[in-house]
Amino acid sequence: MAMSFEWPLQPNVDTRQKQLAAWCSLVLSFCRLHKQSSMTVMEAQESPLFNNVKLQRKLPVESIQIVLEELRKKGNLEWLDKSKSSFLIMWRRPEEWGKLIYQWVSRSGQNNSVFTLYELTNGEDTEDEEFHGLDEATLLRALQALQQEHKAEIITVSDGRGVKFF
Amino acid sequence: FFRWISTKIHFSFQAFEDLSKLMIKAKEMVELSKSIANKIKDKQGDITEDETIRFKSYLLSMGIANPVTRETYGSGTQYHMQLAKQLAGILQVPLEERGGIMSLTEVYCLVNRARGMELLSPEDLVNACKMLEALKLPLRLRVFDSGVMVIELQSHKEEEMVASALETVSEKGSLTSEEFAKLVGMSVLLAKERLLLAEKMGHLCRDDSVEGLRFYPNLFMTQS
Repeated sequence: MAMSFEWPLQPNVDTRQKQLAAWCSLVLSFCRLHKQSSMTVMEAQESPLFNNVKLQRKLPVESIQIVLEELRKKGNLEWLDKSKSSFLIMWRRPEEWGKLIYQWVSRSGQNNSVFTLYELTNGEDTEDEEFHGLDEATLLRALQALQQEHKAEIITVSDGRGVKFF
Repeated sequence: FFRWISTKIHFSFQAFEDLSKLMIKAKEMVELSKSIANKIKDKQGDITEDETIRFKSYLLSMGIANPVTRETYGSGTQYHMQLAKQLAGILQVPLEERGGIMSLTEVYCLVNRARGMELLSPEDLVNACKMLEALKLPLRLRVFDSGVMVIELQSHKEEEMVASALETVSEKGSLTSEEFAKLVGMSVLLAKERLLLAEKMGHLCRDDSVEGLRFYPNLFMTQS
């Protein structure tokens, strides 16, 4: 096996799948807890996520790349630049957020209403909703997903962007 | 006919006296052994089978391979078949004493030490061992993924030993091949193969770091 001694991926395929899944889950939980929606790879390397100071063990950058790629494939991560140095991390996939938002809109009978992005995430009406406080980048992608399904349309309003729901 | 052959062989012994000359003679030797073997084939009617077998063994013991019968897995010369049966006799007790499994190198040393003279070449040993299963003898040759070759008693089930290996590793939290070998009283080579097999079966996972290769119970699979 041509694996360098630094490569901590499990050789048994089934075990490796579980291992990757465990890392992905850890990344999403960490980012959700610390309300981090974006990161650079360098930050990630030094963060408690991949750098365990107590154990004096670090996940090598090649393995971090593999974990990030896995998250990207699952729809939880998006690269923010071509050189793959920083990324958006979404502990819920945009489609899932979109669904939650649309459910709230329908439940409160507000189809055909227009909202500013700010209202959605920071308005009083949404204080009890899970998407309250959601970062703009993720919100936009959630609305784009709804747009694809013809359930919403992103529009420009007086001082920024807004959305109309159908 | 045999007189012709013995003169040829006399000249070959002269070749053995001087190694450098032997190198030059090597090509001639190969040609010679081929022609002898072909003559044996041609004269099949004139020579008894017993004489042929004796003669082939003689060639083999001189280190000249017999090109007429190619060793393929499951078939081989009479010589290797006899050897396989001999090995089964010699190795039964040593195998039982060693937990049912020995590496081929251990077998090689043990057998040659017992023989004292007429030492077996590694090729002969391997070829004989390849026939063990086909001859329905109570031992078999097994090759692990890593290429390591062992002789096992037919009654030995390495996969079942894996279960006990898992228990041992779990008790200690984690183990390297060396630590495991020491605990269980096995050679490090065989200990490593057992741990690797356990990993392949999903019971153990690894931590490969600068400090070495450690095996842990595979919590990825048991705790989801």
